[in-house]
Amino acid sequence: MTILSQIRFLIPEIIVSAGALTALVANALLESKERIQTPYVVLVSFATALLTLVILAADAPQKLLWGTYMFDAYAVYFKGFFLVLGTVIALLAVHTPSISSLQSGGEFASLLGFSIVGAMVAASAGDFITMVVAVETVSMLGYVLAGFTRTRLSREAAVKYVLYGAFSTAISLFGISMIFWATGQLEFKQLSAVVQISPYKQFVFAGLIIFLTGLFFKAAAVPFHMWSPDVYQGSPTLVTAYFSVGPKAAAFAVIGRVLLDGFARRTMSVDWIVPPGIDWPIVIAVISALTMTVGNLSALLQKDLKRMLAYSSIAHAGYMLAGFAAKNVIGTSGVLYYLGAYLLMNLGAFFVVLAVEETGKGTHLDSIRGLGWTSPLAGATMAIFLLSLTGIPPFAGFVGKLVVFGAVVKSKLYWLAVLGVLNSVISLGYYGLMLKKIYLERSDEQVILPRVYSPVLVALAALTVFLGICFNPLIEYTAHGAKLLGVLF
Amino acid sequence: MGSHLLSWMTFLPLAGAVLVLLVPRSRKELMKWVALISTLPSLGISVYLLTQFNFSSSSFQFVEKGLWIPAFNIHYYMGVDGLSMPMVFLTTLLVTICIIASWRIDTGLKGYLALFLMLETGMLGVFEALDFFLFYVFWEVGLFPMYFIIGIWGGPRKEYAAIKFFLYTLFGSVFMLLSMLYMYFTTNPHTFDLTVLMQSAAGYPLRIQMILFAAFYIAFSIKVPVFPFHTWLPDAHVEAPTAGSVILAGILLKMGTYGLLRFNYQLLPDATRAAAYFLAVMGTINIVYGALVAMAQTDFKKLVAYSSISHMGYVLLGIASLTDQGIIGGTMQMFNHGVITAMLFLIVGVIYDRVHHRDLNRFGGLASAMPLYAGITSIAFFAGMGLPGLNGFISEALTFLGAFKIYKILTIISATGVVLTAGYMLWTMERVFLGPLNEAYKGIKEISAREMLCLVPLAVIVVFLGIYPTPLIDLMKATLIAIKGGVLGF
Repeated sequence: MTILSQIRFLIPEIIVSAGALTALVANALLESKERIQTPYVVLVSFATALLTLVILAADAPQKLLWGTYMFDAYAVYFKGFFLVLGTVIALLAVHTPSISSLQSGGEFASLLGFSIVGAMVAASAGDFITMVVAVETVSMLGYVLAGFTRTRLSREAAVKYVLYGAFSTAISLFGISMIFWATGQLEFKQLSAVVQISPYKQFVFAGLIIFLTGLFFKAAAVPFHMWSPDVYQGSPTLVTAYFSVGPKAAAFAVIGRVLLDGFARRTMSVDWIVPPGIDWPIVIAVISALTMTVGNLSALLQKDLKRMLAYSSIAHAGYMLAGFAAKNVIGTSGVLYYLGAYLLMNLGAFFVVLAVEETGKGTHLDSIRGLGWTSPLAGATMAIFLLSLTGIPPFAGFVGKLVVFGAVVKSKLYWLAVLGVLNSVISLGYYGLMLKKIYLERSDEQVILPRVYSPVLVALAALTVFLGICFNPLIEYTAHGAKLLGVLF
Repeated sequence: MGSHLLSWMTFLPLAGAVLVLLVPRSRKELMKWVALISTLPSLGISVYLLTQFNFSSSSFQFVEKGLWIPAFNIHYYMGVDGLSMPMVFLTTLLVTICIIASWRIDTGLKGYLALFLMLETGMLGVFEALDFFLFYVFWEVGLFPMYFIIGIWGGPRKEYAAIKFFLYTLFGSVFMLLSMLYMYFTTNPHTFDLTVLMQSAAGYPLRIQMILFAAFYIAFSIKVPVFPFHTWLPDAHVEAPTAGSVILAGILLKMGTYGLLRFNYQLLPDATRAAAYFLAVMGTINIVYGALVAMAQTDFKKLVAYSSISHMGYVLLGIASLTDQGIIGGTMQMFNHGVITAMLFLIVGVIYDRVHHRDLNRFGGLASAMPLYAGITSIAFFAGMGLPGLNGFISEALTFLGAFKIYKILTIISATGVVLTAGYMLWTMERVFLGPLNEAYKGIKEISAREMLCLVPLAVIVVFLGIYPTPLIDLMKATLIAIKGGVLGF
């Protein structure tokens, strides 16, 4: 295939980049009042890119640009995921007073757009170089977004994020250099063959662990999570909502591809075979166990909603890692499905907190007191998000946990499965606390949701219910995506 | 076949919940009527199914099956047998009664009614689901409506009681989830179909069966609740609004023993035989402990709550005996206790609505002021005591008859529970109704027609099944003997 025909598969990224660039220029040229609408440019580019992605998906899988860029169902799923995420965030950027009042909506939207481009490339990265560049793009833009409102807390969050981010990138690069030294390969699909026969297995394993450490920082997995509650709390809430889903999912996309494409093979069976001596599943299992447990137990102690949700998102990263530790197709498709469910319910929960914060009530736990009575719509949708986060059927979060823990049971990691379900019970402790504040306590102050919030919340809640009942199409697509990892084509 | 009656019965209440939510906030009367009317078709269908039920068959009837999630071979698979049919009928009856009993709820009426209707869908689904996944979904769907019903419309300690109920039940059910997943992945081809699992799961070695049995037992014994997992019950029952307590004690507790019979017994026969004595011991503890604690209560509602713990012990003792009489008696007790305890909670509700306390020591002589109320109460109390001629007697007698053949000592110990029960029931009657009328209650209103409407149908069942229990026995007999046969291996 000629380079030009290969570029075809990059059109979604190109569209979003163009949209982001236009918004940035428009922001500089327009009067300050007109800037409020500039995020719509990026929003339209997201929608167009999503459309082209759907059309291009028919031609997947493709191995592009000398194996550095994979366009397979796995990548398509993640790209679609990031575009949906970007669309929702861009839409709310226009209608969230605390962001739109800064009158630099174009800047915000272009930062968001480029960050989404980075995440989309990360989902496709076929070798370490592309991967590092893509993940760094997401991170760099994240640092700016964290400090976007320029309040004291927001600045502190940005600085913290930069320091930890730079540190973790350095660690990752060090791990990559070890792997490269031992194998002479940077391309994931080739790596799996070389690793099998490498005389330096110990060294490769050490390199992999060091590389993963860097990514665990990005994904906020315990014990590399310390930065995230502070950054999540300090950043503007809309940005926090984005952080809790976007960069985390990008890290997961990369972790999945590196481990299952580069350090495992799959032929006929539904299980991946890990090269002997490079026993990463047990490492992932331990990190998963730590992450869910510490995340949930810490969340129990929080009094601030953003911090509580920050720890909750740490815990969810733990559940999802368990899916990779199972190293079977069900587990990996479970991770992808879980991320989809998590996008809906976690964004939903953050948006309710954001809506309340915009009324000037702050983000203390008491700010949602009586919300179910003062704003029935926000209360009811929040209840759905919280029950889904707990893992109660018939909501999407339950299906995610079912599939992931099912895969864990299938691979006979029973201790991890038991720990996982017990963690779900623990998580009811703080999700239940929020439910209690919303419905079991009363307040007289009226809460008026900012415009557009109501339809967005209803749509997220409706999808949360829908994906909890009719999950077959999505689970089949994610399984389709998972199946190509670790297979040469 | 192909009539979809079970689906209509299960999901019409859910449609009713949506309708209730659409009624404008100010039209409270309309809301209540919509809710009441949307429970009636389900009640009608369950009565119709009773008339169409094939009494001599032990297999599932009115079966509906369709592929739901092909990726995981999950089916929408429903059906009823002699074990679930009585519970289905009881559920539809009690929910209708509960809506009537809740006529005077005022705050957040819309949400209250909608949650009750959702709860009905969840409960009916639990008794009908024949696909493990479907069962689990219904099982959990029954959870959060109850959390809100207790938490929002409950008594002074409602918040604590609600979250305790939620946490306990969720804790139990996650173990069931893991066992379910284990069974799914160890069966080839992978399936959640209970009728298939009933054949294949019996092939597990005893050690595995025991682990699965323990996991199921935790899930279901929390729901029953069996000592020492019972501590959520007094809190939840006491704090819940009257209708909530009726549903909790009348239906939700039975989901526990239903689960034991459907899952532990039918899926894991070897482990069930090995654990039968353990179950009998737990039943005995429940009977005696529950009765003793009930005796010490001064709160009317708490007394009824503990009496439920005691009475659910009979179910355990009966089914643990693995004799025809025992298993039929125990299962009958599920139905009979559901009716009796529903009456008792309604009765407590009637008096609480009038005097706004439940302190047994502050009543007295109410029989002279409320003769009708005293009359209907005595039917429920005597039935609870196991007086011959009322339905409680039949199931308790059969339970003892069956259990005595196998566990002589345990049955003798349990029999003291009957004496203790008679003790606290009669003592309560005396404290509430007999003696001189307490001055404070001079002008107290007699039980209203609406309240009688709730209680009379239940009283009729109590008396009818006390005199002529054959229909209920016939309904359950074929299925239960088959279950027993499956456990004993013939």
